[in-house]
Amino acid sequence: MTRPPRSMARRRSVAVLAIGATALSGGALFGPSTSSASSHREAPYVANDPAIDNTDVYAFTSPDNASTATLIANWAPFSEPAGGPNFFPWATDAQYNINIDNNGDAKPDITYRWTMKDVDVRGTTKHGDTVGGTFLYNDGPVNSFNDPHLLFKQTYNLDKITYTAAGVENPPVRILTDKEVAPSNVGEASMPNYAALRQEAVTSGTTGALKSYVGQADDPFFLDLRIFDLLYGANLKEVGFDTLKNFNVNTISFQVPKADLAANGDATKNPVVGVWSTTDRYTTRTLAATDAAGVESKGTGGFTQVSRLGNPLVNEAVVPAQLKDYFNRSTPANDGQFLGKVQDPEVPYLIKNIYNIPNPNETAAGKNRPDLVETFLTGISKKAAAGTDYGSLAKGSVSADLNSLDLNAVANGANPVAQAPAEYLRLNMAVPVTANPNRLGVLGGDFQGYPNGRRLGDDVIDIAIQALEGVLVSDQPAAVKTAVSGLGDSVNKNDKAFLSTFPYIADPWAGSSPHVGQTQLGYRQFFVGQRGYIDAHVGNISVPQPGSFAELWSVQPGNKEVKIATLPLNAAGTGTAVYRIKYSAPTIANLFFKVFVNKGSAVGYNNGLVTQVQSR
Amino acid sequence: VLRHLALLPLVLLAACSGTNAPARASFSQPPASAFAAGPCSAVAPAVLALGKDAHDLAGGKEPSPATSASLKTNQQLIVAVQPGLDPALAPSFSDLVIKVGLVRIRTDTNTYVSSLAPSLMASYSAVVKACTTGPAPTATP
Repeated sequence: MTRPPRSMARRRSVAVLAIGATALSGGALFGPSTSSASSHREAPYVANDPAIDNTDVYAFTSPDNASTATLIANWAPFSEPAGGPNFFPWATDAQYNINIDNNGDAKPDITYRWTMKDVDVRGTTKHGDTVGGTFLYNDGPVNSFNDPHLLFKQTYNLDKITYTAAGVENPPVRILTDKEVAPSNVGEASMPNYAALRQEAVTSGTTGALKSYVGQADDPFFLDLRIFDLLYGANLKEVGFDTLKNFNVNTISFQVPKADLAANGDATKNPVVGVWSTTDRYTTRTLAATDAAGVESKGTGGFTQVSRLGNPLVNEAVVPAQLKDYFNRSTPANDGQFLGKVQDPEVPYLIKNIYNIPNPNETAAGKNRPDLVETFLTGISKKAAAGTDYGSLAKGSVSADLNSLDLNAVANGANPVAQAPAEYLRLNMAVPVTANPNRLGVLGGDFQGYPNGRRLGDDVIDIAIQALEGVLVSDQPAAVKTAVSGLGDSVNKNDKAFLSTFPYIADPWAGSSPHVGQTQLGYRQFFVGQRGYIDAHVGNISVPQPGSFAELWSVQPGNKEVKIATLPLNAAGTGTAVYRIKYSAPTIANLFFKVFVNKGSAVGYNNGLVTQVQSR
Repeated sequence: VLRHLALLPLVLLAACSGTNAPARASFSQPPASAFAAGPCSAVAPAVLALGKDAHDLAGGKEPSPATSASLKTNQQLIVAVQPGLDPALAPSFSDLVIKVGLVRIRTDTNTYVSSLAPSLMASYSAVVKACTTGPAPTATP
């Protein structure tokens, strides 16, 4: 895991920010005229019902098939790979939805709905000649979906739902029937070739243009969730550890022709779509009575929405606690009610309280945060900035045409569809695929990235922190803007590489992988450059174990990593260590530590951030 | 006049602090006794400590835990005297508090870059100048 030296990364990010800022202030970008636009346990209810807890939604032009868009939605946060014997099934009494608004009225025009079914033979499994049942997920190595050793599995149906002009659901159209859900990745002994199992679960539609994958995956979101603890504790130190490393989610990855998503089937004239996921549960759940054998709990009374996700972090860090469950059952059409929360977010107050840096909400241009309103509620367009389509209360401040649905032909012309502010991802499908994506998306000058849709590698935490701290607020003092433009949580990429082809999202961690408590650790490293030497310090391991040790590495030109020294820590692993590198002349070095923790036979490690330091 | 002379090397130092030159002239600061009575005098040790931190950072040093602690502690001392500051002093004090905050947040998030140091140094110099050469500052009730 090699990271660029910090100074290089900084120079690059400053440069691209300048490009992005110039372009964003420069006028039309990718409107129709050019033919060519997190949330883990964030609310009380879903925190107790992980199977239906939406974590993230992604929407992007498929990098290897530009005539299609890929929509990904995830559930079941913090799925511990070895979490058997039941592992992580989808709820069978729920509806998993990905919704599309393609005309800007903040109502769904298309809903793709996945419903799951159990295929469970554990109760009829024989031991010898006796039907005794078993607790096992599988009773031998599983090599295919239909392998008799796989005792519990699931299938799904996929329906497409359209709506009448009055917003009533038309009868669903079945697209896929009884397709395989990739099972949880139990471990190498149970599933020696999980990749093949997973591939078996990649399904194409009858025309071949549509693809669907339902199953487990590595959680593609990357961040240091401890930032919340640190905000509570008035200290942001120790960021830099991917809290979601080694955890899985349940994912739906869905690829569909752009024309299927666009208004009037025309992705050229109507390239911008709004995308959000929802999950529905039965309104009433009847639990089996005490001592009642042979019966199960069951749901009745029709479905109601219990989880919702569009933009990352909105319900997590913008909506206050008392409204979080309500937000999850609300619909975009009523999102005007949350305008005040977007206009006056809490995070800048917390940051100001800790660091005494200005709250961008307090500047003339930052008042009522038109930059955030445009990012989250209207999309970015000149008309949104002018208040033309969304009204003065939802007026934006970034005058550029990027991803507002008011750019679509159906929002203009003789009978334009009235536009409404709504919180969902907005993807301008006309923006071409970026060859070398920038993790900061639009802030990094890469217009295919967030908030224009969201790609798996977009670093939405860094983007959100920078945006909340006013990087797009025009009258922020230059020194402040420069400083906040480099803010982040020091977790800049996912723990697993994403795939270049469908389903793009990385394979899940196996139950047999070194995982929580084995590989996850935080620690402190710092370097002090003095005349003739650099002292490299390491220690304060978060999960110290006897035998813990650190390796000091240097990044040489060409990103070649060279080990300099191995430093044992004390017997308990709780100690610190210092290594002095001597230089005969002033030297700039790029250094980092790898810290290893022994636990049983598994050896886990974590890398520190590459740090540039100089001797004098 | 003496105050001006005492500040001269400081100003020159600030002017040169935009580079990562490894070898630097020794750092000269006015004594705390040169700070005007009132809030300036009250925070003189904090300001001077921040100046030392700024100088170290401008010289290319990475913020150490000790530097982080110093920045936080001394920033809070200055924040404490901000209410009721004379308008002649308020802008420079406010600017220094902000610049320290920016270095702190970038340090705590492991995103510190050395280009932040010259700005901190300049803000420190402005406070020193205001407190040692400006009109006699007083705290208003």
